[in-house]
Amino acid sequence: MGSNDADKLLIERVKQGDKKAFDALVVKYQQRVINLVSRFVRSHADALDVTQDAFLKAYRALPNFRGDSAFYTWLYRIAVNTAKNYLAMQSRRSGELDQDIAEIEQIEANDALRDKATPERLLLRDEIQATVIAAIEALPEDLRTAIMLREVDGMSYEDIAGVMECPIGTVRSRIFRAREAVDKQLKPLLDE
Amino acid sequence: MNVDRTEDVSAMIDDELEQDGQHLVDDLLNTPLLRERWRSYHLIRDSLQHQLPEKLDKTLASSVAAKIDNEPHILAPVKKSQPAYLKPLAGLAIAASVAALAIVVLQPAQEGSSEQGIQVASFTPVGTPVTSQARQDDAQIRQVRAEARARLNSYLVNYNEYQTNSGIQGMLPYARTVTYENNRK
Repeated sequence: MGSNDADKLLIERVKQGDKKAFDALVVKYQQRVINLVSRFVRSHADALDVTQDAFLKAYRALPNFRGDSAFYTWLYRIAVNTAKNYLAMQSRRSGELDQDIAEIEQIEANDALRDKATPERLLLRDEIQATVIAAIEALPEDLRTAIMLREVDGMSYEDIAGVMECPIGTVRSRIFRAREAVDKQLKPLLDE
Repeated sequence: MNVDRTEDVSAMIDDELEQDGQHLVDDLLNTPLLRERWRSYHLIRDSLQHQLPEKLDKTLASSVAAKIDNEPHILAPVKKSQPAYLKPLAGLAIAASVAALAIVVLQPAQEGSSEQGIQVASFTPVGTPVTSQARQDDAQIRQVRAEARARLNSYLVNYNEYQTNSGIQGMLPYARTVTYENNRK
């Protein structure tokens, strides 16, 4: 990790006692972690609970994070273990609950209620993706190329500058302007 | 907020920040607009990389933040690495400390025993009868023993009282309480 690696900078702050820095890490990785946990846990409400639990465990374990691996690799392992533990606990619990069908029905009804109770909290992936893609397609070609090379192909600014035959500063500016344009289209969805 | 700062956040997300990131982290953590951009830019990235879950919960991060608010602050100790050549010296220092402690603790006892020997030798002046010196030594020894006996008796009596009051039986009720007479001959 470089000295200006965003994760490294934020982790240092968390270790100094700044909880807001951990919040920034949660914001950064929350979608990936939910997506990962959802592969193990089918119920959306339960996946959210497991994700929260995984982040909490990561926060508690952060003093032991030495930075030998990338932060997300470390977080990934915590999330997978948390999801597996949850499944193991659920299977033990469901074994006990087999004896009481009525209780199971009640739990399922509550889960369904939780999923439906707060639709204003939920954003739909398809809606966001459609908005992002429409915004990207509407960009001038130089901005679109720059952001796609960065986000889809994972190229560095230096490599993009080589491909686009322009200075690194221009690449940086193009990617920023592309993000700002997409953000403008996303804002109404996020503020709803 | 300066547009440059927002552009810096964009570069930071790509780990392409050229200047020192510490000040930008300060601004990011304390400026709502920059935090909003931080969230939005990452959402765009996750969307383009097909990392979004089917449903996104807007309140997830705030829920985690609320839970973390109830957690104690992390204050990880900063590890100060010491040069490799200092490690043997540290071991040597510990060994020296133990040796010094041993000298301090053990020497008085040794001195005490050697003093007795020296006293015996020095208390025998030339021309003094040996029997006189022996009497002096006997008197000293008797005095020390008497003090020890007194302490022992006191302990045995106290213990016996405690045992009776607390209802503990044990062996002593079945045995005689031993005392030691000071003026035993």
